[in-house]
Amino acid sequence: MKFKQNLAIKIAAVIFSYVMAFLLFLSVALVIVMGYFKFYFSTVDIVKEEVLTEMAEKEARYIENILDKERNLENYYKDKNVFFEITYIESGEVVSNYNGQEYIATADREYYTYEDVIIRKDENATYWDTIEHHTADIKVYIAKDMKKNDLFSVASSLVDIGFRLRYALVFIAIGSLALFIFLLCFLYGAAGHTSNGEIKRNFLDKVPFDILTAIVVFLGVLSVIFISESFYEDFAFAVAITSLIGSVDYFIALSYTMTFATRIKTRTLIKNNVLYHIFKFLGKRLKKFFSWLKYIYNNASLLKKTWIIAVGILIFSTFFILGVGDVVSHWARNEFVVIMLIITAAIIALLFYFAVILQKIKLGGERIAKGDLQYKIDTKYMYYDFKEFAESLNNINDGLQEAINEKMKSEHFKTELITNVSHDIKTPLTSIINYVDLIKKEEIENEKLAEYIDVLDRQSARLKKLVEDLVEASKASSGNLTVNLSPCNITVLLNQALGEFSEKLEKANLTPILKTDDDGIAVLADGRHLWRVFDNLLSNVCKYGLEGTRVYIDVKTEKNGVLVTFRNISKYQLNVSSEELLERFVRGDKSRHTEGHGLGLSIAKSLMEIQGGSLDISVDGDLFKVTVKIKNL
Amino acid sequence: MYKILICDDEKDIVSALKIYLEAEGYETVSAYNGFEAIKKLKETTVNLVLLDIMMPECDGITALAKIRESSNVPVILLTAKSEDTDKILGLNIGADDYITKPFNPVEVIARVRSQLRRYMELGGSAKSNNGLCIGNIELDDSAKKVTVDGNIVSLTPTEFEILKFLMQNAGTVFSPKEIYRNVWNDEAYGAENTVAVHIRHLREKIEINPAEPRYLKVVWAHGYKMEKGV
Repeated sequence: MKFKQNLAIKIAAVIFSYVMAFLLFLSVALVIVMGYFKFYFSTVDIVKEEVLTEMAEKEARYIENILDKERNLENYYKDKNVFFEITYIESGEVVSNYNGQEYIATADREYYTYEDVIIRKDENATYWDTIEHHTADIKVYIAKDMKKNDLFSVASSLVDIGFRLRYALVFIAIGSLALFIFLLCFLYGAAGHTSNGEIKRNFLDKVPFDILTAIVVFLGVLSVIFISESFYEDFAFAVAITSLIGSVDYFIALSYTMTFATRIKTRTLIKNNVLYHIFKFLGKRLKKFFSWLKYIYNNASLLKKTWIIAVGILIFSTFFILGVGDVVSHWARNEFVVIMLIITAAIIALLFYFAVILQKIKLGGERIAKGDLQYKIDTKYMYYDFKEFAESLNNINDGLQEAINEKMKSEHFKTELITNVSHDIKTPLTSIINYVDLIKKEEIENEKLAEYIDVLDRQSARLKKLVEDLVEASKASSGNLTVNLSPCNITVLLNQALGEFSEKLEKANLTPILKTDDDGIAVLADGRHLWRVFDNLLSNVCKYGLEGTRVYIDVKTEKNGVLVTFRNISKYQLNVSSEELLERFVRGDKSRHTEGHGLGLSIAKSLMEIQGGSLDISVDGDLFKVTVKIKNL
Repeated sequence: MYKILICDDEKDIVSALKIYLEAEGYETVSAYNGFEAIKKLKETTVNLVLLDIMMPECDGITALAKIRESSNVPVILLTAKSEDTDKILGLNIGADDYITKPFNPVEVIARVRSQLRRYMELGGSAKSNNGLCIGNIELDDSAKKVTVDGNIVSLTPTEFEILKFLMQNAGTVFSPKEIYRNVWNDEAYGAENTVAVHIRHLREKIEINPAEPRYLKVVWAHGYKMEKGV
C-alpha cells in the first residue's frame, strides 16, 4: 500500500485524528449535557426554564453565602437579569428589587443562623448546644425579558442555539467517531511501515514495552492530578489546562497504541520487555540448576543415590519422631522414639542391601550388554527374586555365548567348505584346461569337433574364473581377508584403473569421463582391495555398457567419506532390482546371454565393507549407477 | 638337454605337463608324491623341479625343505591354494617361483624357461655390462635393446624410456605424474591415464603373466615400481 508508506499522509492522519478526537469529545460532552437538561425530550421553553431554575438556585445559594457579609445586593444585581427578595422572619423586613416583573425561573432558599447556648453547667464542665434560627427566606427570580447582557442571557441564547443544534451534534458525534475509528485503523495498519515497504522498528518501538507502559501510566496519573488540581482554580484556566494536557495525552496514547501495533507486527511485543529478559535469564539459570541436580543424581552410582535417599529418610524421620513424639509424649514418649529409631534403622539397612544387589546386577547387565559373554553375576548373597533375576541374566549370557559360538562355527565351516571344495575343483579343472589345450594343438579335420573344443575351452575358462571368484567372495564376506588401511590417492588409482581398461573400453566403444574436484584426493583404504572393486565395476561396465555411450566417473568429497560414482547406460533392460543385483549369482540380464556369473558386485560390496566403506547401486531405467563410499583420511 | 622333475599326485596333470615340456625339448622325470620326488632327485641329476604342494604321504612343503638340505636346484611350486600365506611360506622355505592352479600351460613353460636360463646360463648372478639388468630383463641403453629371458622384446620409444627410468630407480614407487614429468620432461595435466596405458603395454611385453607381474609392479593408488632384486 502506498498510503501506508507515505510519511506526509501519516502525519496528516495523526493531526486529523486529533481534530476528530477533539470534536468527538466536545460533541459527546455537549450531547450528554443536553441530555441531562432534557433537550431531546421536551420543548425549548421547558429546557430553558430548567436551566435557568438551576442557575437561580445557584444564585440563591450565593446570596445565602454573602447575606451576613453585608454587601449591597441591590448594587450587585444592578446589571443582571436577576431579582431578589429577602424576607427576615423576626422583623418582617423585606429587602428586594423585585417589583412583580415577569420571570422565567425562580428559586427559594431558607436562611438559617446558629447560636451556641449553655444547657448545663457543673463543677467539671460546661455543656453546650447549638440552636438553629430560621432568620430569613431568600427568593430569586430570573427575568423573562432579558434586557441586560449577563451569564443568564448567554445561557438563554445558548439553550436556543443548542436546541437548534441538538440533532446535528449527535450526527457530528457519530460522524467524528466513525472518522476517528477509521483514522486509527489506518494508523495502526500503517504503523512501522517505512517508505521502502518493509516493516521496521523506530526508536520508540525499541524501548522495552514494560518501561514504556510504566512511563505512560505515570504520565496518565500525573495528568489526572494536574487536571483535578486545576479545577480548584479558575474555570477558564482549568479548561485551558485540561485541553492542553488532554491533547498531549492524546498524542502519547496514540504513539503508545501505534508502537503496540508495530510490536505485534514485528513480533517483539513480548520479547522486547525488560521483564521478559529477566524471566528468561532466571528461567535459564533455574533450568541449569535443575539439570545440574539431575545430572548429579543420574551420574551418581546406585550406592550414592541410596546415600542421598537414606539421608532424606533420616531427616524426615527425625522430624516425624520429634513432631509426633510430642503428641504421644503423655504416655510413652521414650518407647515411641526407640521403636521409631529401630524401624528407621531397619529400613535404611534394607535399602542398602537392595542397593548393593541391584548395583551388582546392573554392572553385570552392562557387561553382558557390552559383549562380555564370560561374565557371571555373583549370586551368593542374593535372595528370592533378586537371585532368580540374576540367574536368568546369567542364563541369557550362556545362551548368547552358545548362539555366537554356533554362528562362528557355521561361518567358519562355510568358508572352509567353499575353500576346500573349490580347491578340489581346481585340480580336475587344471587337467581339463590342459588337455583341451593339447587337443587344440592337434590337427583336427572335423570342423564340428573343432567347434565343440572351442566351447569346452571357453566354458572351462569360465569355470576357472567362477571358482576363483567364489573363493574370493566367501573370503570377503566372512572377513577372512587381511585389510591394510593406508592413505591412498583415489585420483591416481582411478587413472591406473582406466589405463588398465583403456583397450577393453575402446573395444566396447565406451568413452570414460573422469571428474574430480581435486587431483590428489586422499582416502583411507587398502589399495589392492580398492583396485579389485574398481576392476569389477569397470569390467561390468565393459560387459554391460551400451556401445557408443559415455561412462561417467565422478569423485566427490563429503564430510563423512569420499564418494565415487560410476554411471553408465545398460545394454540390456535391467529387469532386476538394485537389491537383487547385489546378491550373489544375480546378473543384470536374466536371460544370461553374456559371460559372467554375478559375483562381481557382491564381491565389490563385501570388499568395500571390510574397508569401512560401502557400495550402493541404483537403477533408473537404463541408467545404472554405482556409488562407492570410501573412508575419509 | 635339461631334465625336469614333475611331481604331482594327479597323474593326468603330470602327463599333461610332460607333453608340454617334452614338446619344448626338455627331458622329464615323474614323481607322484614327496618321497618319490626326493628319491628321484637322488637317483638322477635334475635341472628343475615342478612341485605340487597338496600331496598325500609327503606334501610339497616338506619335500621342498628336504630338497633344500642338499640341493639348490630351481623349484617352482604348483599350488591350488591361492592364499598369500601359502605363497609366502613356499618362497621362504626355498621355492624360486610359484604357479597357481588351474594354470595356463604357456605360463608354465615361460616360467620354466626363465628359471632354467637364470640357473644354468647366468649362473645365478646378475651380469653387469654397460646396460641395466634386473632379474632376466636386460636393457642396453646404447643399442636401445631390451631382452627378457634372452629374447629381444620390441618396445616403443616411450615404453623404453619408462622402463629405463624405472630400472634406474628400481625399488622406488613413482606416481604417474612423476613418471610423466621424468619421461616426457613436461608437466602432466590430466595425462596420468596415458602413463597407465603405457605401463600396461609394457607389462604385457615383459611379464609372463601381466595380471601378476614379477618385475613391473602396480602399487594401487600410489604408482608403479620396478622390483629391485628378483
